[in-house]
Parts: sequence; C-alpha cells; structure tokens
Amino acid sequence: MILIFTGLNQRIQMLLWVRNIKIHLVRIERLAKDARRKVLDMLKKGGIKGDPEKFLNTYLQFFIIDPVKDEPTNLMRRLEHLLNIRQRRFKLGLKQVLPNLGEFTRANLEVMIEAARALDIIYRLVRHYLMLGEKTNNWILIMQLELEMPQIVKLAETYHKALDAFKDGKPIGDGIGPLVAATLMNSRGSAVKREVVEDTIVGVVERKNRKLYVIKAKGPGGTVGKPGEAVKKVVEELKGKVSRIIMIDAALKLEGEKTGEVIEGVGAAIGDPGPEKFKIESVAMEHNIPLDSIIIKESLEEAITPMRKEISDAVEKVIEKIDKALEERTKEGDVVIVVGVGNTIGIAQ
Amino acid sequence: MQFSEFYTLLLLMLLLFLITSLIRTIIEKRKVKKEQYKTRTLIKCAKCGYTEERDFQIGDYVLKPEKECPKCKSITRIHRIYDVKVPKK
Repeated sequence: MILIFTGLNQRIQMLLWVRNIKIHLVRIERLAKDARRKVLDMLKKGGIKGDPEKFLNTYLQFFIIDPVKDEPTNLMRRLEHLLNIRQRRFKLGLKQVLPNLGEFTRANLEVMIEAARALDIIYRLVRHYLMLGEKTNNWILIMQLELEMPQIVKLAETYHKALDAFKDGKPIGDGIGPLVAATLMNSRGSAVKREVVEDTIVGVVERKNRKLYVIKAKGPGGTVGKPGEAVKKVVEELKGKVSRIIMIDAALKLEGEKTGEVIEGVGAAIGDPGPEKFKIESVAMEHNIPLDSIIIKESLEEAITPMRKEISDAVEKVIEKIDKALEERTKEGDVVIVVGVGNTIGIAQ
Repeated sequence: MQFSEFYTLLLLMLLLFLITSLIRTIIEKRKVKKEQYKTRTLIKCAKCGYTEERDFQIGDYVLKPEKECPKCKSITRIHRIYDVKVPKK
C-alpha cells in the first residue's frame, strides 16, 4: 500500500525496465561496432586511399532531407532527383577512394555500408530514447522502448547477419525477382542483352511464341538498378505496343505464413521509396497496359540474409505462373515485359 | 508489523522476483536455440542436366561458368546458391 501511494512501485518497475533496455543496448552496440569493423576491414583490404575511419564516418551518418510533401507538384521527380544525387555521391565517393576495386565488389561494399548505417541508426535511436526517458522520468517512453526491445534487437541481428552475405557476395532472399529474370533470360540459350538504363539490363527472349523483354538489375554486384526507368524506356522504344507487364518481387509474409509461397495479384510489385513504382504505374496507365504481379513470400530476415532453399525453389513455380499468364492473358506474337525486382547480389544475367 | 520487518519482507519479495525472472530468461534462451544454416552452390549443365552440389566459395555467383561437364564435356554453370538448414546433432 505504501509503495502504491508513494509511487515507489512505478520507480522500481522503471528501474527494472531501464536495466533490461541497457542490457539489450549493449548487445546492439556490440553488433554496430562489429559491423563497423567488418566494413573497415573490407575498405582496408580493397586498398583504400586515405583514412578509412574518416571515410566511413562521413557515410555512416549521411542523411537525405525529404522533399516538401505539402506541395505535391512533381513530388516523385523531386524525390528521385535527391535519391539520384545520394546514389551518385556514394558511388563517386567509393570510386575515388577505391579506384582499383572491381565494379561489383564496390557495389557489394556500398550495400555493406548501408547495413552498417542501419545498425548505427538503430543503436543511436535506442540510446537517445533511453537517455531521454531517464532524463525526463518519462516511464511511458521507457515502457514502450522495453516492450519494443525484442523486435528492435531482432532487427539489429538481421542487419548484422546480412553483412556477411553482402561481404561474400551471396544471393539474398530479396534477389528472387532477379533470379527468376536471370533464369528466363537463359532458359532458351542466352538472350540478347543490353544495359537499358544505369545498372539495369534488358534481355529479349522468345517464350510460348511471345516476345519477352526481361528486365533485371545488373549483377552480380549488390544493386537494385532502376526497374521503373527501364520499363518506361522499353515501353517508349516499343511505342507502347506491349500486351502486358508482369512484375516479380519478394514480399513480406505475415507471421505463420509459409516461406517461398508464390501468389498473384495486380499492380506494381516494387518496394522502392516511390519514384520507380510511380514510373511503372504511369507508363502502364498512359498506354493502357495491364500490370500483373507475382510475389514470393518471405520474412524481413529471410529477405536480407542468404537466400534460403525454399525461396530458391520458388523460381520454377513463378515461371509456371508466368507461362500460364502468357497462355491465358496474351496472344501468340504479343510483346510482354517481365521485371524481376530486387537486389541482384550474387546473381548475374 | 514493525518498519524493519516490512522492509525485510519487501527485499525478500524483490529478491524472489529477480531470481524467478532470471530462471525464466535462462529457460527461454535454452528453448530458442538458433538454427544454423550452410550456404551451398548447385552447379548444372544446361545441355545434359547433370547437377553437382558443393559448399559455397567466395567468388561464386549464379550463372558463373564452372568446370567441364563430366558427362557431355560442355561448360557447366552455377545454377543456384542457397542456404540449407544444418541438422541438429
């Protein structure tokens, strides 16, 4: 009774929560430091010019300011412009300090820095809310943080695991779209391929007496390419004479759902910040092209860690669905665009 | 009840709570044993369908040309790279 009336029970509870959060925070800090060490090792191994610590610090806290959303005019174009600047800055920065490193290894290093950056942000954010909660005696903030901690730690562990996949150049779960595209490009001998836009490949292949324009990011380095820009360019080159666009991508499954399950729907299956999806939707609408999508279910952990066999086995199921779509929804001689969306690390074309 | 007795009781309760929470954490940690995965590389001959699986090596990527096919002598390629669960001992 005394405890309740004096509010001491709340104090004791808060102390226990703070202690628990601190234990988790130490673990997150360890993961963030290890990620940093791994990136530094890679930079040193690649023969970096100058101080690797200084270089990494610049990119770990690199930020992008969102464009103004209250005025929606050209919002997607403004966002795309900012994302392009950021990407070019990253690429150029890496090229300047690691000129002798191969293009694909550099791309993998770029993704590694992104993962280390995500871990660094998680660590700094948790520390910020913990310190803020303690400073202001805000037990609701501390309680929320404590309840969220298991998920936050899992997320941090996932990013940490992903680092090893990026370091070794292993295909990740998110690469299922590019893997399907690569399989299609090479199913009837090698397709005629060209880099249609930066870091994005289109291959032309005949299938079921239809002409398929297969699009994927340029591998085997870690990149997602510009599938939206590529679709737009191909449709414009073909003067809009495209019967269908079929998109393949990995999608987050709900807890309890089976990994590698293949399902169909309509719309642009792509999880970019907006510009690429907007371009695909716009070009499809402008030329009245039906937009189909096939997704492969997986968890966030499975999407950014080495590809599990269940996901890899989905390739054949996806191709079956594409064949069925070609037979049922297109005619012989039609032109169809197939887009394999995702990070193509460890997958060539 | 005297004041000192009350605090002793409070301390005992706190100690009991800490011990039970510690035991619970240890039991939960034991329950969730993390699964181990191993990355494997599947090599396939597009001509005759010959397949071979080996451990992943740094530098492997899907569609990378590999050795000569022991059956039809054409060049094999890496068909898939995936993680498989390591059976628990």
